[in-house]
Amino acid sequence: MQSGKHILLIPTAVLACIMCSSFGRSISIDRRGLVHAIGIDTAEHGYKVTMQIFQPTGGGADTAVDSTKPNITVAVSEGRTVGEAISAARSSTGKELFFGHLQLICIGRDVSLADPYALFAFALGDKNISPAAELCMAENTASELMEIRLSEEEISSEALSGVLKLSGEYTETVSCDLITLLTSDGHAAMPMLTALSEEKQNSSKQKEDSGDSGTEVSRSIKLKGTAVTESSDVLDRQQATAAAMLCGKADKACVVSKIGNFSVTSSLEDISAHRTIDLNNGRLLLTNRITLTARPDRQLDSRESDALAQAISARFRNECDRLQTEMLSRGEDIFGISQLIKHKFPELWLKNADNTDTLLAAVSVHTDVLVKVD
Amino acid sequence: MNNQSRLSSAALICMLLSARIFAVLTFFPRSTESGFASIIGILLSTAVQGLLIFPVVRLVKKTHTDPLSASHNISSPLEKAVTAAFLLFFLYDAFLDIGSMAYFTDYFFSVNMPRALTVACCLLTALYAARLDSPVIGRLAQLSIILTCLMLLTVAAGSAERIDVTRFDLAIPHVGKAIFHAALADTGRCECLVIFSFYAAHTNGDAAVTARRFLIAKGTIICTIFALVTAVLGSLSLNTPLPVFTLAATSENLITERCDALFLLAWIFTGLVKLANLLHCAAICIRRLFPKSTHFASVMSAGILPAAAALPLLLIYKWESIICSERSIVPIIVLTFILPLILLRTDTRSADAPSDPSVQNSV
Repeated sequence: MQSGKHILLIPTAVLACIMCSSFGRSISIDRRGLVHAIGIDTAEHGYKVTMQIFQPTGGGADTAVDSTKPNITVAVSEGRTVGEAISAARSSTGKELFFGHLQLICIGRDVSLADPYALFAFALGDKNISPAAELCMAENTASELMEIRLSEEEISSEALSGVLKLSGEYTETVSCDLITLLTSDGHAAMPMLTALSEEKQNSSKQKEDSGDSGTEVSRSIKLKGTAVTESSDVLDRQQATAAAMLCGKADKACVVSKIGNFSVTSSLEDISAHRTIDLNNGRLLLTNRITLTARPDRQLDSRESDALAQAISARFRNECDRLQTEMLSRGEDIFGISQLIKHKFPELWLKNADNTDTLLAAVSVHTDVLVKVD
Repeated sequence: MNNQSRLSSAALICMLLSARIFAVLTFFPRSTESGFASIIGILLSTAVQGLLIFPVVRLVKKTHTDPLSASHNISSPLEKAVTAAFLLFFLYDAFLDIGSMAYFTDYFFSVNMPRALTVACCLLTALYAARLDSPVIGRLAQLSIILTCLMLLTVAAGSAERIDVTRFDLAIPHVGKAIFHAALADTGRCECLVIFSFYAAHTNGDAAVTARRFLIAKGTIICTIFALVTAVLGSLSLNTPLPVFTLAATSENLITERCDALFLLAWIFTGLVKLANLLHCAAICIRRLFPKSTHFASVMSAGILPAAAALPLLLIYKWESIICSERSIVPIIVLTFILPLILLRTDTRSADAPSDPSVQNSV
């Protein structure tokens, strides 16, 4: 009897599995649009969204990828909100869009980031979109960047992400993701990309094949600088390196210093930053302590090593002090100083909650840079 | 008392932790204003909970029985009232858990499966587990805690680069009020205290030692989760519906780009263990109230009643109103503090008086 009851469980379980799978709706991979990158611009009645959707272009099987091709298709749609624009894109592409592979969100220059929670509500409400998706800003419009199909990697958006990752790693810019923007107090730094057009003269063979005697325009993307949200500032490479060090995002860098009559190129590694804030006589004093290791491209004696260390230290000390003082005087806190004040002096922050720009402008900045020459 | 049906101290602690961890992994209280204030509130509430369960510990030490058996030794109507109170609590909590599991499973897994089938799957699994003995459920709970700890370690390791200790701040207008609300919200979600009150007499170890270890473990794990979420997500944790899920989604390592699948594994496991536990306890109460009912019938009715209550709200998409409402601490205080205190002060028979063997064996 017991074994009879147990045997009954088997068909019950099979029936349950069939019932559970029968009422669901499965979507095959070829009907899914895997969105790898999104560009957001303002439009007449809201937002314009340009999406790079994975489309394999190889021969043979349905999902074959030809790594010499961009392997993307671009979809454009508009809506009152970004979420509405994305919904419109579903019907225009005829695919069920899937955002689990979203690597990059590009924001147009004219998009306001005053309320990032409202703008990125589509990302917060979608469990598939990673909060660690990278952000960047376009020099003009994001759609211009999204429509450039790069073929350096298997997928165009991977090439874009590669540019940003490497630039961030070598401190040419300050990397930014969705979490960083949403947890910032109004201002954040992010890479700014620009579209480049290069005209190439067609070779004689290409002219013969295509019958076209004109030039070919190839488009690519380049890092323009580092944008500051809610500001017209664009930091150049030197300022971006200092900003990345102050934000604790600097990984490696490269600097040229003049020692005596010759120039020394040094690779900077093991960059770490520690900051403290104190209240002295009613005045906030911010102290940044940056330590890094410099590896020069030539052998130096001890006197030259000391001179190199001092030169690099002085350079970054001045750059960091100048940049941070200027930006805080304008209330552009991309360094997380507001959070530091909230952590250490919560009552002071609450007292000046309506006037945080003045509070930040009153912060005195001092930077120490300790350089070890390897 | 049959020793084979007694829980080990570790198993009981893990069962209680599973119940609490499932609640915190699901969502944070809506009244959270600051992560740091919540952590302080949790620490305070843990200390207060030590006082709350003191009468239960004293009752177990004095009578070596649980509140149901202690009330049985006083009078039959009192026993029925106490049993009914526990039964209602367990059924209500099972109703909340079945609904939350179905609601969030719908959110996490885009399978477009009808919610009724999700409820059926969760319920059948929990019912199967609830039919087993409590030591077996205890072993499942131990596995779920190990899995949860592994998940937390993996998520923490993957998010280590984003941890910023300056995100622990008390820059909110009414700090005392925020801490008080956080403490209240934490206690309101501690159904584990009622489960402790139910099981405390059925463990091998000392109830006081078990209670102390449980409270320390609970406080540590819950504070760790809140601390991790606050340190990594900062203010985003207050604006996202599922903070721990979001934290797992940002955690990156060399093998996976995100750890939310591991989070979901731990979440489902702890949820099913908690549900099985609640149904098991509710079935015991049903058998006490209706002694002629069989083990199978009591477990089935303990499961079907809350599922039937949750389904209409799930099908008409009104479950969010249940989630958004704050949980009251009154039932927890009544069942873990007031009731055992009343039973302690009332004359009881000695600990050697035999209690109902049919119920004791089923635990």
